[in-house]
Amino acid sequence: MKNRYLHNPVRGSSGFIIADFLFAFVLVLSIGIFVFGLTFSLATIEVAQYIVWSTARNYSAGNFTEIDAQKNAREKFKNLTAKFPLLTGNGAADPWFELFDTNLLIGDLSVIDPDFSAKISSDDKTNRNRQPWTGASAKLYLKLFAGFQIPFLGKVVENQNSFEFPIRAFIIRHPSQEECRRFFYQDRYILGIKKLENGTLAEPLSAPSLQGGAATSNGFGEDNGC
Amino acid sequence: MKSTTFLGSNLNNNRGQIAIESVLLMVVLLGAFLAVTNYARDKKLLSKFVDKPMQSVAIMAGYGVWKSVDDTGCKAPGRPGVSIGKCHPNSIARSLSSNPQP
Repeated sequence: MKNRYLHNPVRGSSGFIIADFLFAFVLVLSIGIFVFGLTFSLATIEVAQYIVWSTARNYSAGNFTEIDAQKNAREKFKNLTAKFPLLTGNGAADPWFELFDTNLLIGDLSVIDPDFSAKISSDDKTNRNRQPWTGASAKLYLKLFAGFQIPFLGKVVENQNSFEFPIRAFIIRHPSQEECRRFFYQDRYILGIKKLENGTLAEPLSAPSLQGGAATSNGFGEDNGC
Repeated sequence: MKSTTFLGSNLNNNRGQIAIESVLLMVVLLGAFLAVTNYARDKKLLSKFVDKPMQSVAIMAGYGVWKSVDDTGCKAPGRPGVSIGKCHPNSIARSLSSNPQP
């Protein structure tokens, strides 16, 4: 009779470790997933900022025309996003984050980006004491984090729209070859120097092609600063 | 003699007390846990814990300043409350001048 009581499982504490382990496991797992999602999202924002910045940097470099610079910048964006399919959705069926080129804007963001344009005053657009709003903008959606649901505590994110936001990078754009030539041959020479010289200077040898060498006549060979 | 044995073995001892107290403790602790989690769920504490800081990060990524959505503008020295677009570092005059503007 005595032995039966000694082995009574109700009186023992040997099962407590299982209950403790299960509780701690769920708790640690939940907190771990939450912290992982948060830190991974912050790291992805950094990666996305680099991609958008790199796109703006590509656009800033002088090219044949501004349109060519845009094309190159878009290609840069696509190439970089393809390197991180899980973070951008470019090439992944079920990505953790989305950074699509359909939302990519390149150029003067105070004109082409309505979200940004609405946040700046007319004074911001015309103020000559600042850098131009030239650069790139793309929307990043923190899909992974926005979809989290912690047991007993509910959804991590109530308003999923607030986890989709634009990332912008501004760099001034260098003048394109076309703009340099237009400035050098038309604005500076035909509308400028030639008028000053009372129209006595000769015309350029021929209209220069975009990719050809500069025509030289009456000082056309001097450094134009481009 | 028989009745003494009966009382001594089944009623007059503390065997089984741990089981009852375990159940009581479990009910109390589980109740407290559910009450706390229900409160957290109702008040959306987790969402609030994440939402605002993430929006500050979003504004930094989009507008280049640490601001929250409730702020109307920035207040830098020499620059009264202005639009969030103007808070962007890109708005600061960086050209060298004998009379630099803030």
